[in-house]
Amino acid sequence: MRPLAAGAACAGLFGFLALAAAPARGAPCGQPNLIDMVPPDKAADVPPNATLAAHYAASADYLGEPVVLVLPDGEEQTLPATFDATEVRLSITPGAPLAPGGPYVVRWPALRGLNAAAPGVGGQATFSVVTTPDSAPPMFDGVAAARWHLDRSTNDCTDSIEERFVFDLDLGAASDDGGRDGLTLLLFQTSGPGAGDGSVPVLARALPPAGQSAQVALPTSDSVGRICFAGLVRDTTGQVSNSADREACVETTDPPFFQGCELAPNAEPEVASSRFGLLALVLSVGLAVRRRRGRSRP
Amino acid sequence: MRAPAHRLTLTCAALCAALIAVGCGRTSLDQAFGTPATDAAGAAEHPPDLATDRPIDRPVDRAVDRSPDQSIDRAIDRGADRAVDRPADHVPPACVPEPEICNGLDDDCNGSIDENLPAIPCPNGGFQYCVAGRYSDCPQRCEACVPGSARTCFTSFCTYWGTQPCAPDGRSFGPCQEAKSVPPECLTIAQNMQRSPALEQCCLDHGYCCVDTFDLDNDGDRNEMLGNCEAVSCVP
Repeated sequence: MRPLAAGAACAGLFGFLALAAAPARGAPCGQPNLIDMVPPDKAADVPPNATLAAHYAASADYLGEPVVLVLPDGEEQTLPATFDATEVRLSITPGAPLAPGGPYVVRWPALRGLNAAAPGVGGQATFSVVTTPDSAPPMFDGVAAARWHLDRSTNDCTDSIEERFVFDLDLGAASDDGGRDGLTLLLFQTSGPGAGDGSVPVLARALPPAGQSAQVALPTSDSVGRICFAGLVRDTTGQVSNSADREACVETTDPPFFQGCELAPNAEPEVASSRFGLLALVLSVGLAVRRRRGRSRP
Repeated sequence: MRAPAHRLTLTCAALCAALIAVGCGRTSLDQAFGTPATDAAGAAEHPPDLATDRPIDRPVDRAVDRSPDQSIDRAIDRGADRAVDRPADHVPPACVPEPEICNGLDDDCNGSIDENLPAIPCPNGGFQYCVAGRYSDCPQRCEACVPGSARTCFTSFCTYWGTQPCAPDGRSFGPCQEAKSVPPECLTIAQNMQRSPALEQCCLDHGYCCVDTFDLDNDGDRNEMLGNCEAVSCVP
C-alpha cells in the first residue's frame, strides 16, 4: 500500500506541476497585471516626501480604482491617483509628508485592460518611513555593458513563433539619499534601427537589485546592427541621475546565423571527436600508401 | 594489378569519418535550429528550454563610454571655433564655460556632460530626457500595439477576412489569421469583391480597426492601421 500511495502522490504532484507549468491555453493575452512597485514591498528607507508608484502591463487602463494608504495606526486613506498611460504607471503623492515610522501599507488596485473584461492582478507593499526627506538627485553609473541573444518562442497569443533580440544590460552602481529601493530605471535605445536619429524609451521599471542586469527584448527589425543603450534612474521625487551620456553598445547580426565549419573546437567532446578524426586521417593515408605500394609491385 | 574492392571501401570510409569528425562538427542547421550547448558553462547559463531557442550567446561587448573621448574631440573642435586667440596645434584649447545644454558636451567645463538638464513634459504624459546628447522621444505605452488587442486584416483566400493579434509584449503583430466567417455587414462585399479596397472600406465604415492594405488614405503606408484603433494603438 505504501509504495502505491507514494506513487499516487508523486503522480499527483507531477500532474499538478505539469498543469502549473503548462502555458495557459485560452487564457487572455496581455492581462493588465501589476508588474512592480516603487518603493517595493518591505522597503525600510522611504523618505517622507516620496511619491508611491506601481507599474502595470501595457494593456492596463485606469478607471478611477481607489489606491488605499494604510497608516501605522490603521487608518485607511483613499488618495487621488495619477495614471501615466505612456509609462503605465499609477502613482499617489500624500498631501502631507509621511510621519517617520511604520508600518505603512499601500494597496494597488487590480486594473482593467483596454481589451479585457476581467481585471488583472493588483498588489500591496508594506514599508516604513525614515526622517530624512529626499532632496538630492540620485547617482547612477549608467549602463555598463550589453550582451544579446536571439529568443525564438512560440507565442500562444499570436499562434506563431516570435523572434526577439534579448539584451542583457549590466547596470552600474546606483544610490540616492532617499534609498536605492525608491529608484526607477529608465532605459533608452540610442542607436540602431529602432532609435532612428534620436533615442527611444524602451523600459521603465523598478531598478533591479544590485548586481542584477536589466533585460530588454526588442523585435528583430529594431535590433540588427550596432545597438546602443543608455539609462538613468529616477527617485521618488522625480529627480533623475546624470548618467544618460554613458552608452553601452553591442553589434548584432540578423538571423538565421551561419558560422560554417569549425576546425578548432574548444569543448571537450569536440576535442575527443577531433582526435578520432586525426586518427582516421592517419589510417586512411596509411591505407592509401599500402595500396600504392601494392600497385607498384610487379 | 587492380586493388581489392574492400581496401578501396575502407579508405573511403576512413576519409569520410575524418572529414566528419574534424571538419564539420557544427553546421549552419545546428545554428539555425539551436543545438544544445555542449560545454558545461553554457549549459548552466542557459538551461535547456524547449520553447526558447537561444542558438548563440554573444560575448560581452565592452561598454562604450562615449563621453570622454568623443566629448573631448568635440570640445576641441568647438574650442577652436570659440577661442579668441587660436592656440598652437599641440596645446589643448582652454574650455570656455557656457550654460549646459543637451549636446553631449561639457559646456560648463565642470567635468560633467549634460548634467542637471530639465526633463521636458510630453503632451500625452511622460517626459523627454537628455540622453546621449539629444532629448529622447516621448514615451509610448507600447511599441506597435496594445497587448491583447487585435486588428482586422484581409486574406487572399476563402473568407478574405482575418484578425491579426498583438504580441504579449506589444512590440509586433502576429500573422493574419483567417476568420471563419465575415461580419454580416461586409459579407456581400467579401463574396463579390473578395480581397479589395471595397472590403477595407467596409471594414472602416463599420467601426473596425483595419490594416490599411490598400492605402486608402494615400500616404504610401500599407502597414498602418486605420479606423477605430483606440484600443489597439499605442498612443493613448
